[in-house]
Amino acid sequence: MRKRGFAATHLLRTIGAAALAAVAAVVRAQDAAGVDPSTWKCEKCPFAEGELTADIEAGAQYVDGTDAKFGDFTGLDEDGGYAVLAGSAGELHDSGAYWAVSGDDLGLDGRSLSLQGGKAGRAGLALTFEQLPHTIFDTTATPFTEGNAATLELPTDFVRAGTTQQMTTLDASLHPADVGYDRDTLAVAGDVRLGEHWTTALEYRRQERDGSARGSGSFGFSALEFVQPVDDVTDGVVLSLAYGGERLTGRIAYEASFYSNDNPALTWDNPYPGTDTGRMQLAPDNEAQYLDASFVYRLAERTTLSATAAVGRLEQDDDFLPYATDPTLAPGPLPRASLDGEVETTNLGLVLASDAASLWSVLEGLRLRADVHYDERDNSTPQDTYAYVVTDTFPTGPATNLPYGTERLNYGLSGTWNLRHLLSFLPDGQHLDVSGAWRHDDVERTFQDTPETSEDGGWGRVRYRPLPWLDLAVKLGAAKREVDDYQASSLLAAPQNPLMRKFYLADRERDFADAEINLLPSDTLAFSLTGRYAEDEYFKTQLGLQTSRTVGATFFGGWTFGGESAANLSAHYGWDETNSRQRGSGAFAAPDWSGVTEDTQDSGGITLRLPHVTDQLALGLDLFFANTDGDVTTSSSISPAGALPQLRTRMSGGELTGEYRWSPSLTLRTTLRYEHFDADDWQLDGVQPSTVPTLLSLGADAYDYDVTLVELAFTYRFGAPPAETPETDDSGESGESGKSAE
Amino acid sequence: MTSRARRLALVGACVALAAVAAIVTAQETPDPAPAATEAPAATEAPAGAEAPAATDAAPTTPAAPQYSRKGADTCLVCHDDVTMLAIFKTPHARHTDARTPFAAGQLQCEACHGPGGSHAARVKSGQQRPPIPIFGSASPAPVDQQNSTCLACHDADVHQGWPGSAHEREGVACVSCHEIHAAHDPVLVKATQSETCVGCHPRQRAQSFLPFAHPLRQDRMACSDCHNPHGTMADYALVGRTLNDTCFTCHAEKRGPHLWEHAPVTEDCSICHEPHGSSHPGLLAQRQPLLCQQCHSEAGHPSVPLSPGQLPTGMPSAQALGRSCMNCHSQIHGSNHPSGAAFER
Repeated sequence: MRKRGFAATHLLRTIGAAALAAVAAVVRAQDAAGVDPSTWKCEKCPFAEGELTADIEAGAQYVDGTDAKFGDFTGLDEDGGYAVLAGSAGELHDSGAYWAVSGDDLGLDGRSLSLQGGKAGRAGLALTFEQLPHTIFDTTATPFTEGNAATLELPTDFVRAGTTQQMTTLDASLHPADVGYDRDTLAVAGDVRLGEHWTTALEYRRQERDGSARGSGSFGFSALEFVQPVDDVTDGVVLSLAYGGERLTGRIAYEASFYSNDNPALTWDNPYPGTDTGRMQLAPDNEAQYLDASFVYRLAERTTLSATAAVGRLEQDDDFLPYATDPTLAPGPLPRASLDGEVETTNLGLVLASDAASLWSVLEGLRLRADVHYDERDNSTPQDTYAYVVTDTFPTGPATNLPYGTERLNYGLSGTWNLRHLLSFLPDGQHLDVSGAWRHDDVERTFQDTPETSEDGGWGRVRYRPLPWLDLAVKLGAAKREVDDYQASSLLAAPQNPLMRKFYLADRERDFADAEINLLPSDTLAFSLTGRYAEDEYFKTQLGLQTSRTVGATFFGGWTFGGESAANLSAHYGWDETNSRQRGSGAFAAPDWSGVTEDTQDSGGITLRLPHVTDQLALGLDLFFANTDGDVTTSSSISPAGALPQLRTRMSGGELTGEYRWSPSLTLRTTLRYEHFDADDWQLDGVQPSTVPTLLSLGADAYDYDVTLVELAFTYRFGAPPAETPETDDSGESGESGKSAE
Repeated sequence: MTSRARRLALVGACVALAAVAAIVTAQETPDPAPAATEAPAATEAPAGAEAPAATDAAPTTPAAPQYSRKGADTCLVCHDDVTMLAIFKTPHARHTDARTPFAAGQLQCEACHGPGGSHAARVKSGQQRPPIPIFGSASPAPVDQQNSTCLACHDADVHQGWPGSAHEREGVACVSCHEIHAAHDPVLVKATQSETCVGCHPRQRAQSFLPFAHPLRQDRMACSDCHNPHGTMADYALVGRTLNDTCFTCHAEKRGPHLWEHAPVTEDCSICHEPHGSSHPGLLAQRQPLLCQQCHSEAGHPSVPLSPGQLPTGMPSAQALGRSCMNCHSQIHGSNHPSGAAFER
């Protein structure tokens, strides 16, 4: 921001504030005295109506050194060439009717398409299709082959044994089996304006997942990983009616979501001795329906009351599988054939926001918000007792299912006070505002270790701008959660150590602080530095999470240079460290071991944009890095313990882009990109299918790639060239000092 | 607090809020006078200030705002650069849509930037041209006044959660995120939206670089897929009724209800997961088994501490390696199998 004299600054602020205050009312009134805009012809306005625009991008890219991690979400998971294809087209008619179509990454598995049409201000329809590839592993191998109806079969000559090392035909039976699935989303949305104030809208969304995920199963204490098929669909629909008036806006909506799994169960051959097969029930079909209503009412110019209410129902009633694949193990009949699960939800909210000057003029500049929220998950799923079979191996039980429910009431007060009006001694250009909030949160739970938790918390912040180019802020906060009656639940099949406190239910003290410095030394320079600290202490916990502390900092710098060419150089850096401590008891008594986890990440990048190296050439450069380190250390008085190898990831890369504008219609773009990633992960490193005696693993490797990508593409724009400078009017005036544009 | 007491407290809080609202409504001054009676700089310039017209005339009655003679045709004589003209490619400039500033009979540029007559009029050499209201960090007008211009038309679009929202409280201007004159507003495009958000949320930018994260870095998701920056009634301005509702939009397979439920799953996904990014698979907040051992202390293997001896160099253990606890307890989000009480089936 340019530095002005105080008087000029005050003048401009007064002018600007008064003018803007007037603008809003003028826009509403639309009948400002002394003006008849109906005579304004807008002859110089380059409206888009009546012109067909289209562009197409075509080219090719070549990728070398890729793997599943680089290809995750991008579709570039295999070395080789890919087509670059994208484009858009659209037309807006003088009648207001329009259509538009666009497509991106059409040559990749992560392609997207969009088709829109309608009449501006009356109705619209949009159809979108998006693909999202999720490639998880391409280094995995398995002895299983997928049979019919979601079954995983071992070779007929597979030698079953008590440990993986004793499975003599395991290595020979392994074959590569990538893990990953595609998520395709199709959405259709339409809206119609019903008169001046009403709008109705209908949206349908279908999301399909197809592929595989990393799954696992067990028999007793012997486990195995497998490539689990994924084949499901989620259909969603939202029908809404909205009203927008002068003081009142409101909306009611019906929302429904239906999940359907084409693989209700997965059966697999047992590589260990004992029962021949195992079977698990995969995610059951379920549905959720909601009715929402909300409104905002402007009580007065600076006071609004907002409310929302929603009721919903979740249902699930898939048929149960038998207790075990071996019917002779079943202890008896199932108490019911299906769950008939039902959860009713209620969500209520009320918010009052107001300028406190409405109450007392000395409070000018203070904006307050008071709110109350209620959320309930009322689980009316029937309870029954199941005498179940452990991992298709041996009968045990009984166990009674616990339909968890929650009821949450939270309310609070927050506000921000610009003290400019109160502190008249502040020199012009200085700003001081204080903010704060207080919140109370009660949560009641059923069937859990404590019936209720209650938390009070608040924070305060001071933001001070001593100079027009310097902004400082400091925030401090604290919260305390208390639990009246914590008792390790006796409802679970296996009892907990009575000293255990689950961290999300435990007494907790939380302290946090943030600091921020923003510098704007000129119109072209900007810097920002932030720091944060947060600590949770579970002060009554003897077993479980005891403390968690996070410290972090970020930096951003940006420089715009080159005048009208608007070149830009920016840099960012972030650092975060989380340290947590927990205790456990291997003897099911007093604490006898402790664990410390320290996760550190730092990342940064530099971006350079040169949009006008020459009149035709633009260049861009992006460099980045991201590192993580994770250290886990345990110590124990009775059990083996120690420091685990460091978990580590290193990612770095860069991208150089050049655009050459051959003509207003034709642009050539070339991209050179490099990215490196490597990781050390003790949960994967050296873990082959037969490494762990009681785990037949997929043998996935930690991610490691060095990718080079080269892209060459042309973009051709059809139709009218970009808007150019219109000819001056007959006066030839340019509005410079001493001249007029009238 | 019992359930009944909680409901009574809720009703009481609503009544209290309604009472405060009534008091405020009764005390607040009426709507400001129409613009025609408000005078810009001429009568408000302090004595001795360099006001263009103040020293030339001091009318005794407020002057009506001076609009240009030709509207946009006046403005475009000077403001004719490509950046400025790009607005004509946007929905703000649909002259066939009666709601837009450039529809027939509307105030065109001056609908947002205010009366521009004095700004466009002839000025004497050496005198400052009267400014026109501008928007953004360089604007001398308070943020709420800048926003009131946008909300005059976009009240219904954003008003549902805006009053009292975090961004309103923080003094975020509409133009802090939106580029009105851009042919394609970057914040409305999935591939470019996050660049706007991370300007004020740098920690989330850093988290998006973590090895396990939602696909924001790959431009396949946008912040607005989960958050509504205009504000909602839910925590963290999430688009769903609750945090879990937001997650179930894409992860409906975990919605249930299940026969055997995992309690933290039914309450809050973020008890175990860090949705902006994590250095642990599955966006878990911490590595297993330690994460699980923060809540589980049953006798036997759940309470055995992790040790280097469980690695392939020692006595490799399924409790530590592979998927750790989830090697056996794979149905951790809930099981509908009659024998799934321990989430193994």
